[in-house]
Amino acid sequence: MCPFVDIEQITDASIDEYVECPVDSKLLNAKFQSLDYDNCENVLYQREERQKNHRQLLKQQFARWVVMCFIGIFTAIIACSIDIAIHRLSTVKYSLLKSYFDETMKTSYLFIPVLLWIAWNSGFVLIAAILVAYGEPVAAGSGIPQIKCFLNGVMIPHVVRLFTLFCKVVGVVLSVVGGLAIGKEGPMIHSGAVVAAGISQGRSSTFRRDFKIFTYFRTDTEKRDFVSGGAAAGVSAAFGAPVGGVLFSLEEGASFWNQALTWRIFFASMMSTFTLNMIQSYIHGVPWQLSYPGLLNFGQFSDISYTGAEIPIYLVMAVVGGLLGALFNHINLKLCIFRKRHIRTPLGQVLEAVLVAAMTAVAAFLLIYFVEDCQALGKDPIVHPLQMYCLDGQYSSMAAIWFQTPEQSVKSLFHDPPDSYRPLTVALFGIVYFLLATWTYGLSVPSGLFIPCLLTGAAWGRLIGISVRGVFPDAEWANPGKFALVGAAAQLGGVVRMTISLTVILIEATGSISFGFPIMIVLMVAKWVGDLFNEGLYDIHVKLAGVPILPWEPPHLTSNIMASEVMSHPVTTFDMNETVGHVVNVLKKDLHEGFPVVDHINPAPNQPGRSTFGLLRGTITRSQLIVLLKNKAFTDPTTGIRGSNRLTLDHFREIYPRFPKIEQIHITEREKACVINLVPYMNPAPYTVFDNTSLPRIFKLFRGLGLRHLVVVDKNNEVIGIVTRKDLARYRFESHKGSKGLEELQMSFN
Amino acid sequence: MVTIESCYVCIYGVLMFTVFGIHSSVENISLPPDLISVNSELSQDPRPIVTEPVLITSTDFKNIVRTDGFTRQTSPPSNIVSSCHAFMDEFSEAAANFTKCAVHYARPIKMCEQCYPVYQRAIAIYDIMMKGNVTDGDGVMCGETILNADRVQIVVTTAMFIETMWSNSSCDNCYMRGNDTVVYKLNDLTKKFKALVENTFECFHNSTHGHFTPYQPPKEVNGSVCNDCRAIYQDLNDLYKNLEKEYPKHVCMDLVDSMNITRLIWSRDFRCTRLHGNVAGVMVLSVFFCSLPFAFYIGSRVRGTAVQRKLLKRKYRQPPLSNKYITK
Repeated sequence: MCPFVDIEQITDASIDEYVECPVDSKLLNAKFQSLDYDNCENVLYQREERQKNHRQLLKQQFARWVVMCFIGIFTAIIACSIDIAIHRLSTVKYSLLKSYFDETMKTSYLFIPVLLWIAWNSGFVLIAAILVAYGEPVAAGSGIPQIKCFLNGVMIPHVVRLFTLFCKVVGVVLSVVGGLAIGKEGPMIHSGAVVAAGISQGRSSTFRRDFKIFTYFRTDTEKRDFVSGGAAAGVSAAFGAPVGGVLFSLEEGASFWNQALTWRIFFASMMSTFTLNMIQSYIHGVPWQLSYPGLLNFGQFSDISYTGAEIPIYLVMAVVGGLLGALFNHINLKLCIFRKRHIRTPLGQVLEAVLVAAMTAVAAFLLIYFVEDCQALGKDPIVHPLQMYCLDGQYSSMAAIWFQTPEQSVKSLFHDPPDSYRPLTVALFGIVYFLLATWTYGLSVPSGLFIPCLLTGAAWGRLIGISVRGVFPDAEWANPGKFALVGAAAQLGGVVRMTISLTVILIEATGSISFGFPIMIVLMVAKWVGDLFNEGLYDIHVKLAGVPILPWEPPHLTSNIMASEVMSHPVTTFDMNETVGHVVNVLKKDLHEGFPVVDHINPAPNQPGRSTFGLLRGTITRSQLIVLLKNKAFTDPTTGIRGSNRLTLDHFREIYPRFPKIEQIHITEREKACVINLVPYMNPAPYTVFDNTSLPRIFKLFRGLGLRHLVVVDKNNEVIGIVTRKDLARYRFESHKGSKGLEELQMSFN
Repeated sequence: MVTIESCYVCIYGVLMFTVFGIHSSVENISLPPDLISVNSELSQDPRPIVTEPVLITSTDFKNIVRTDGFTRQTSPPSNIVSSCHAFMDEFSEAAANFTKCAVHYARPIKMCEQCYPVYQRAIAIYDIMMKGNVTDGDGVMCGETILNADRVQIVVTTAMFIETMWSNSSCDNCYMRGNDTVVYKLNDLTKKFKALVENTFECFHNSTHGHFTPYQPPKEVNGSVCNDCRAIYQDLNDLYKNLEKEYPKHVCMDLVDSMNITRLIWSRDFRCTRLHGNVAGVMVLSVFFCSLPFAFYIGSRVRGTAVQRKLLKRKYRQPPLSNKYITK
């Protein structure tokens, strides 16, 4: 750990003087701001509330449903487009490669298709990586950690922009077609969230278009509700799992939940699945056959049968999944720390992605080249059978796994007849894919995590299935496909450590409710085992980014920590009437986002022996002040002339959510002498705690209400400090070299 | 060969019942001879190994029934019931014929080509029985009598078995397509393919000096066969590729099977498939590419200095927890 440096005033100029410290996951990044999920009920708000009538309320309520409906539809359309694009492009890819391989196997030019394969992979991934590294870095990865942070109440810059959506969608298509060990599900979920944020706000700042609709939804709270609906719709479109989608939003995202919102989110989810199935039914040539089993994401396990006696085997598999998942996370964490330290330029990131793409092709080729596993053609539904060194009329089953998209490979391992793969094939494939997947996640390309984990798990699960079948050759239940499903669940559970939503997603995507119990047990045990070693991969990446996320529960061993320790102490406050010049100066100098508004008291505050900052009257945020300054909502004290007309909440909604910086606001010297009356704009009833409130209690307030600032007062209601999300998030109960303890994180600027 | 329009039986059946009405009995239902004995004309299988399949004809079947002492040729009341039963009898016989034919031509598969008439007949009878305007004495449709009677639904299951077997084998893709129906004539691609298979086998036969008979390939191989027949074997493969393009994933099973057999003979028995694959080239390529990641990571480790983080100290009234871990 690095030593602290005491800095009197936080200014941009003084940042350079800070001590430097190596990157790791035990730092909070100071650049992340919180979202404010607590409505500011100021005078303007009350004025607007008085003018509302029953019809407006109804209209608003109806608009919520309409927006949710469209979120579902558009999310599904995007998901379908991704699906179709990947399907078309990979069909071209694998037919091309197959024809080249078939040609050159008879000659001595085998390196031509290999080079073609490498070139194809690298080319597609190159474009994807450029889009992400140079276009929109936040589009990298699965997007689930980012959405999780957003729903938790942390503003991740650019995460729900249209341009991000573009980079994500195009990027994920290109990288899946580029053969990387990734899936498209995470990006679909992220897409759903962006769609939700876009539709609910009725405008796009990427295109600078404002449709002037749904303006009443332009607050953090409303936006959050829609984004959780969008995430649910994304899951639902990605896996065809509407209930799983709702539960995903509940488990991963929504810190704040109510019954009416759940119902609306479920509606968005269902709309999404419905739209998806409708489009898919056209693609499969069975228009409007919405119960067509081919629509199931991982194919239907129609003849799945299990007996209680198998459960011990599943438990063993769950333990294996937990261990492998922990290993996966460990390797990936080390790799990502290396990346953060040493591969920081966009060029380096692009190069690394291209390298991984090329190596994926090489690894696949070497496996196909060396592993001889020949199966008769026509037995299994293989789309691009490759002969390699097999006899005529046979295909290499190792090539068959590689010559399709990862999602189809999962399906093959689940559903292909028992003897389609030799044990060596699936074992080697599983090992190589595991390593590739750990290597790939965290690259600067959009990459889902679900499919690579499922595929790795399906491979070793099938291996166990084949062995079980060897031991009990006549047993009806010894179906390798079923063990592949269990292995896939264990592996995925071991990596992401999701529980209820993952169970339901897997049940829905395979259409096997009766198999729910084994899946649940497996996920549960895999999570327990994995948690002994490290955290879920999403949490690891959230922490790696230094996001001040608040977990479900306050950290252990904090009940003796009081507000007076947690709070930031010297507090910048404003009087109820402040001069413009002072406000501008404070905003320029101070990096804080929220300021208590106080009455002055005697003796003057912050004198020696007294550390209060005045009697609390309300709070005001930086964004509000900026809107005031921008609209010149001040009066000239000498002439009494008002700078502008009365502001309404619409003035605030107009700029939301991208408030300009204070440097971008032009204030003349004369205006600096003007006075702003903050009373109509401040939050007159902020949440406060006494200085002897314990940390867990503050934590629950933050977590439950979605607060951004919490003022700490003494017994006289005088301000003595302020607690923000970062003040809370710095306390963490972490394990370190075997011993667990409470730890206090430091904050960094980059 | 006899051409049967697919709805022939259909028309026949309806006609029969409009003419004979409920007075028809088992005796009256005799399908035209070309329908019944079509099997004998079909067998042009060159195989000398097995004798011709003897398929049960309508009359045989009735005889079997009669020897069981199970007759239904009595007076009107039971006669009325029997119009449905008559159809069931016909169907049972047709289904038996189909099963027999299918199993007989199961290995190597020639079901699609050989069993079309029996398949067609079974399905036609079934269709009339279930969907046609056939009633028993009480005016209840036969379909209902059969469907609503029990839960096993023997007739329906049997018909489904036939249908599934036929469609799983994609047999219709061997035949020409009319506007809406399948015409009982092998289509051009199929004919061409069959001819080519014949030619290939002939080539095998000739160049092994008669040692080769299909389905019983020789143990010892004469090396010249690979050179002699490579061209024609290649043609066969190309044609099969066309077939796969024409009917993606649903090539008629007869053809799939003969292709598979030919390929196995070619590569397993004759060992004519010679695959090179330049091991050295591939190895050089792999080693080169596998060294790239090491170069990249070591390079970026050495070149790029680890970026340090700038720490920010927030101000608190009380000193923060010690920076060390507080262990329990």
